[in-house]
Amino acid sequence: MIKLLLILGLAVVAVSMLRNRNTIRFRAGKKLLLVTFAVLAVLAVAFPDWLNDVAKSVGVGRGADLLLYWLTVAFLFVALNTYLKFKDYDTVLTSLSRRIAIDEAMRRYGPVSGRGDPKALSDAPFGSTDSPGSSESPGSPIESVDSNDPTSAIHRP
Amino acid sequence: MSYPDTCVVIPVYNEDQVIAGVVEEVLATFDHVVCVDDGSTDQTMAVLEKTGATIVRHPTNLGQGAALQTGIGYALTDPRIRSFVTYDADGQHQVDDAAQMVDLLESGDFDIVFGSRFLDDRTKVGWLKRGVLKVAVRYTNASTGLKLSDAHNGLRAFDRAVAERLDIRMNGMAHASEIVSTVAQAGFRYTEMPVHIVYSEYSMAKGQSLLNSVNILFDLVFR
Repeated sequence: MIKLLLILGLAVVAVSMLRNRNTIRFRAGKKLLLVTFAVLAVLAVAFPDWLNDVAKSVGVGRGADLLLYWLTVAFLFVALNTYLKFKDYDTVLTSLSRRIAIDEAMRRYGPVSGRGDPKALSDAPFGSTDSPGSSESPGSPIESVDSNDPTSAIHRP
Repeated sequence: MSYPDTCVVIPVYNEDQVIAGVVEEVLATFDHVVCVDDGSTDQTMAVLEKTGATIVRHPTNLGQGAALQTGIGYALTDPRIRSFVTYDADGQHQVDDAAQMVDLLESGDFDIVFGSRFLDDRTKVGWLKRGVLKVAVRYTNASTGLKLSDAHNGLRAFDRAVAERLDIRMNGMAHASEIVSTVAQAGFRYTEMPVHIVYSEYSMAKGQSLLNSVNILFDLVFR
């Protein structure tokens, strides 16, 4: 019985996380789960016998064992949730960095094939260059390449 | 030969020792070289500034896949660019191979040409690396339905349609499989061309450890 419950729990965790982690339903579900977890924790502390009874009914020897099993599933849920959350942030950070990088290059060079003499452009440093090689004064003019907005054509994932 | 419609995209991360040589070599054949500096912490930026390459710079280190996508995204803003080449920064690729791949691409029979180090015996690959790469390509072939002999080769040439379709989300090294699966999903016409990979002491030291295949697998499963 408990084996079935645990395997089922783990499967539900994995599948639900990978399938629909950003839907409103799933996010609400996570919060409800958290509240349930807290209530169960309080109950388990207040009525230790009750935990033992539940454990026996699913075929586990002691309440403490059941708690451990339950925590394992909960931990996996948290670990996976955190991992995927970080991945989402990674995606955001990447889009943001990409936008900055491309905008900067467009300001500096314009489109690839429109590139002129590289030496003529050397006084337009990258804004945040921190390599010791470039000691240009900050705020030196960056030449504007096009009157029409060059960023409008940028490929956006 | 100058390939005015081709843009070579080179993702660069901490390669100040070799990048200048690699860029000049490529520039001798190709007019347009875009180096995407992936937030290098060494002298790479200073070295790049002295070359004729166009530099696109990530504010922070994001990974090779992210750098490739950025370089392609930048090159795409120019409607005159018809073909794109991805090229490694550590000097393991040959410019002649890249040129041949673009020539083949321009014949119009294919949308993308993959480089493969296993189609002839010019490239000397250690047995362990060969084994891991073979497993990788088998996995990629099985999951995409394509028939390739080398899935993790950094040298590729493709046309604008492929570039526009590409949306590399695997910031790390798993992007190689991701590109293959994009090609499979979109049904692009593909082929492979034998290329010579030169493993210098430098590229061996810089190259990815075989252990990174664990990371790649993990990225592919939990995408």
